[in-house]
Amino acid sequence: MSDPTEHLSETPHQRIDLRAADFIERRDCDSWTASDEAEFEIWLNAASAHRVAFIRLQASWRRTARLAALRPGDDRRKPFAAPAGWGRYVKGIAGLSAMLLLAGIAATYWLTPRYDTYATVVGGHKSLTLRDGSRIELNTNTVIRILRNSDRRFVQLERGEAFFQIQHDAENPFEVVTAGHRLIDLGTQFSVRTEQNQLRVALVEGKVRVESEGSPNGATRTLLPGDVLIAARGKTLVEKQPVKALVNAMAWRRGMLLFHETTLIDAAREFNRYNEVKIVINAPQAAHETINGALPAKDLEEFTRMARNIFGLKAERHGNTLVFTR
Amino acid sequence: MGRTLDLHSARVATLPGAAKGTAVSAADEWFEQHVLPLEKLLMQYLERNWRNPSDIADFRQDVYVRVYEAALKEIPDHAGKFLLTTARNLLINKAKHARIVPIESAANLEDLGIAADTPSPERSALARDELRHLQAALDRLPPRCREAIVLRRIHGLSRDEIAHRMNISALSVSSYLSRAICVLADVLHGEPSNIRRQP
Repeated sequence: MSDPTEHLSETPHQRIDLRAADFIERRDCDSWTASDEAEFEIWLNAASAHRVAFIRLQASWRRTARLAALRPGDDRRKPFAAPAGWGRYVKGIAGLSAMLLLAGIAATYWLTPRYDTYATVVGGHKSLTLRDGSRIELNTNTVIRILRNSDRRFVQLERGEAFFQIQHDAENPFEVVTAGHRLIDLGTQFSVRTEQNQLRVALVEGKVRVESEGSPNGATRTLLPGDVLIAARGKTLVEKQPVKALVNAMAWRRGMLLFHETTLIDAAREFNRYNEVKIVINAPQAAHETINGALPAKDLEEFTRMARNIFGLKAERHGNTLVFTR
Repeated sequence: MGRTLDLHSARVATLPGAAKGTAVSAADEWFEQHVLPLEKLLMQYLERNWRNPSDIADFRQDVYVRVYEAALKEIPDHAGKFLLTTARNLLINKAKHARIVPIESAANLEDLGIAADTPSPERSALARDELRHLQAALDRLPPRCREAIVLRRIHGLSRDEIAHRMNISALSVSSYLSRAICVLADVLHGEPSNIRRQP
């Protein structure tokens, strides 16, 4: 184990595990491309042994995301609101004392980053007010990094979903980089959601320019209110939606989920983004029936009541899963 | 919401190749949610019934492949019982090959604590417990692997940044991270904090 190049005594299963782990590790990286994804898909679907290895490793890897809670700077202190410059967001004292409290490992490897990192856990929600008056709201299970000690207004959305309300400054555009795309605001409100395979940008107000990495002629697009850009597997498309629908989709900002002709199984998936207890719909017929209305994102009892009243499903708790059956 | 949301949810909830509602996605989900939480039980069963500890991890994966492929045809009713029956059959086969008589090949499955499938009272996995558990898992990693993981998961550094900080190549970082991912899986699945410990 000490020498990472030593692969001699591995069994076939260990080799599969390492390959799966390598995919998991690289898929998190910025350098992951559409052809990497294609290679990964081929490998994943080539054998059940590949698939079970991947699912198993990914499940535990996801649990380690919780470790982000140990990160210095990701504590419960108030969002920054100090004077002067776009740079140093953090009020030193609070950050420092939180840091000193951190036990062992986190402190040992602490280094001064060029970014301030903010993160939410599953079910979390955080509002940041930047010194220029711009606001960023983080949805569940989200990691964002903000460049500091710089005049540049630059944010990286590493994971999850965020809503941006940007103060326009023609001299100094606000940039959001995520999943191989660069969004450059022209004074605006928009939401960005990024997950393993998909990026979704919805524009509520103003204008955003989007540059996509790896497109041959550096193709840029300009999004207008109601535009939804969806990028997945190297393909990018823009859909038009009523602005009202987009605003409804941001009901998470108030802790709610709004459903409109949403299938029960999709509603369950949406819920699962916000809760450690995961809903499983084990009722094939009901799963594809649709619902309309609003539910509190973290209220599993309310979901259970809805499933019982509308579909006659009963719920059973098995550890961290809540299984619904007819 | 509407159509876009549906598209979105379908993509993120399933792995490539597992279209929404297919046997593949159902099997993926069942495997992750009902089989993986029983890994400690499975490992105990294999360890108890096989002499050579170095075979166990491979056998575990063999069992997983079999139960997963069975689930592609039909999701078994009782994950725990199905998992251990599959493990028993595998051991019997291996034993025939190795001309060994398994110690407990016809064990009564009910005695093996398959109750892991049923909810227990103290399940409320507090976030703090989970964190402590994860930290304990980190402690089990070799130092360089641990350092790489801490930089990635706690500090959110990229591979190149980690390479720079640890003064090693990006390739070595990948290698440390991959190995750490494998070891963490053994520790975390082997001792899930949200499942009752077996007696």
